[in-house]
Amino acid sequence: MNNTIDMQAIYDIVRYALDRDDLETIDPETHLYKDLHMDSMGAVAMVVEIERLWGLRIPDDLISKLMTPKSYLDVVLDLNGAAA
Amino acid sequence: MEQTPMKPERAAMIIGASGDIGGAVAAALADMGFALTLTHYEQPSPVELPEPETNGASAVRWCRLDVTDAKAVREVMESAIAAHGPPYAVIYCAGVLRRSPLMLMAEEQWRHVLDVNLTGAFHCLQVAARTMSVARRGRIVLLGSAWCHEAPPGQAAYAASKAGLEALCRVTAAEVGRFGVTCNVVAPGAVESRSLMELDQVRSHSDVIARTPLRRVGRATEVASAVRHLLTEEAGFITGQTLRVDGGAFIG
Repeated sequence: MNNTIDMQAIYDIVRYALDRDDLETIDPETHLYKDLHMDSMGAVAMVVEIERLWGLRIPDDLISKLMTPKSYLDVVLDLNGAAA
Repeated sequence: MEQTPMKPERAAMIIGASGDIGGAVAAALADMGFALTLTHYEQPSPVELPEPETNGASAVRWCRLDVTDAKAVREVMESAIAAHGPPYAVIYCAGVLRRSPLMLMAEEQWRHVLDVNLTGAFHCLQVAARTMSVARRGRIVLLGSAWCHEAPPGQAAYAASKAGLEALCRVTAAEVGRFGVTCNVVAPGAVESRSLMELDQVRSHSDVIARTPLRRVGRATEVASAVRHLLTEEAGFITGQTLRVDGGAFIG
């Protein structure tokens, strides 16, 4: 996994969080909870990996609002822009 | 030209380092070469600590901390991270004893013991678990008590808080294991300390020794040795466990 912030990187993080290296059917609007059955522990793994890769901390009160890969990417780009 | 001190290779935090066991744990970890952030509520421990090599960074920092204050816990732990980098080890030694029969116990007394012994640990774990999970490494050790399996009269709050600590440890271990972080409890039995004097009021010291297979009370350094072991490479596959250091007093 490289450090570029893009949708592919988010997909890789989703696969990591769900322990599903084989996951191929995923797109920006895939609902992580309804379609992929992610739970709160998966969300924890997402934010920990995002923080590890890019040094960006997603505010706690935002985490439960992030439902799709696109929402995660938007937040990460936003935080990265603010950090730059 | 003034050089910026390097962050030490390994850092640890001991929450509640001013008691007998906390002080012994601090000495053990200093001996292992950790840069330390130590917290106290009233006074720092008088224990003398060997100064580890840290290329100029201050190796031992004392901070006053009320563990019942979540914001203060976050600030102190973040200051430790700023000074020494993400901690490799966080040891929770803070605890209070308030003796009272259940039927006479004031609610304030119950809440205070639970707040310091259990909720304080929760406050620290929230910061430690996240920091260590991001760093993909870490060892958390909580100081429990073998007495919580004994039911000492007058210690409902203490026993409940320490039993709760073991459950908190197991769940934490289950949640952070995938990130390479372990969480364990070290549960002392009768150990030479100021706390033992309070806990042991309902029976004589000699009664406790008589029921202990090893026929003595333990030493704070022996509890610290158990903590020390859990921080070694060799203990890397131990998590979610309670290690009793009780001379066998509660084995049956």
